[in-house]
Amino acid sequence: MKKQIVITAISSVAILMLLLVLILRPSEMTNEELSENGLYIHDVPRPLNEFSLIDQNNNSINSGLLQNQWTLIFFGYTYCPDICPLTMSILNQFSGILNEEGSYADDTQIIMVSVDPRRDTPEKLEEYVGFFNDDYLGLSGEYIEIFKFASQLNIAFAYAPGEDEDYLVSHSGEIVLINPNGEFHGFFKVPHDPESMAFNYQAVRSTWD
Amino acid sequence: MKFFKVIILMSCLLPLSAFGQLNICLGDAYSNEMPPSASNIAVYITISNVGNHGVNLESVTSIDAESAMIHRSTLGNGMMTMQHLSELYIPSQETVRLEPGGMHIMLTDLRRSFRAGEQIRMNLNFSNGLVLRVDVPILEN
Repeated sequence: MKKQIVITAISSVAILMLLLVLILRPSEMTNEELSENGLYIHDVPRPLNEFSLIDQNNNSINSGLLQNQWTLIFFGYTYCPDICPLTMSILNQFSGILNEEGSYADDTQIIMVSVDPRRDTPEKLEEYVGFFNDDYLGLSGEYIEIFKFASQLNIAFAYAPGEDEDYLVSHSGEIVLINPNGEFHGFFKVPHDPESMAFNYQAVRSTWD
Repeated sequence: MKFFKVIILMSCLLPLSAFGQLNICLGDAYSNEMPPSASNIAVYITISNVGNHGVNLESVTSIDAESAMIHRSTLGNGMMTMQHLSELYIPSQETVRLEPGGMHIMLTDLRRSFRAGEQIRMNLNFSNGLVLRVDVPILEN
């Protein structure tokens, strides 16, 4: 009788733990669930055309940068006082969560692409991006190259007239997700929240790996 | 920080004083630290109108910046856009919050780089003639 109680107790605890693990693991989310939670995933990842940009250290960058690791890309500009620093700060919190939880931090790179190459020199981007996180990359380049790259990722941007150097740039706020094949996998919708971004990202990674 | 709190407290207490027109209460003013070379910074603040008449925030000036503008970030045509507001109406007995991703005061061409722990001096000029000085603390990211 006593033995039976012990066995029942142990198996109850085991079942409970299994349930907890299943509940807490952010896996097995459907694309619809992910979308409702802020991350839109393409039904079929979209291959990208070759591109040519410059990183913050004046190195030439092409599509090879996006191979063999996951990439999050935000398009912004350093003169932007509200949305861009807010998004960079959210990305840094997102990275902090991955680091704390020891999940997928090592093969996740984060990039800011400038939509304002006229003012955002590589030197300016190095300081700006490094201010938020030393590991982040800041890309700029020829306007037409940035335009072509952004267009492939459904990112729009436009210049608002202003005086001399005091113009503003409107731009999409989505954060693009690229898979290790260098394909456009999906995007994080606006507004961004670091916790749900991390949860969604971990869910995508757990079904991919 | 202490000085800043005193100013806020005073601006809230003023309606109780003999000056009947001084009916604006400011709170929660801050900016987030920006990279050293950044020439622009966004200021967030809460403005309450405890008076019986609506008031416009007509302009903002700062001796620490070349110019100051009231901006609203909006989502239009799939893009985040900053819209310049010529003035900001604060209805009677209501509070307007300038928050990240919503409205902010953009200071452009800062005279120097401001680090976390420092303050930026700013004047808010209202349509009823009221001018309120705020020392905006810079917060660490």
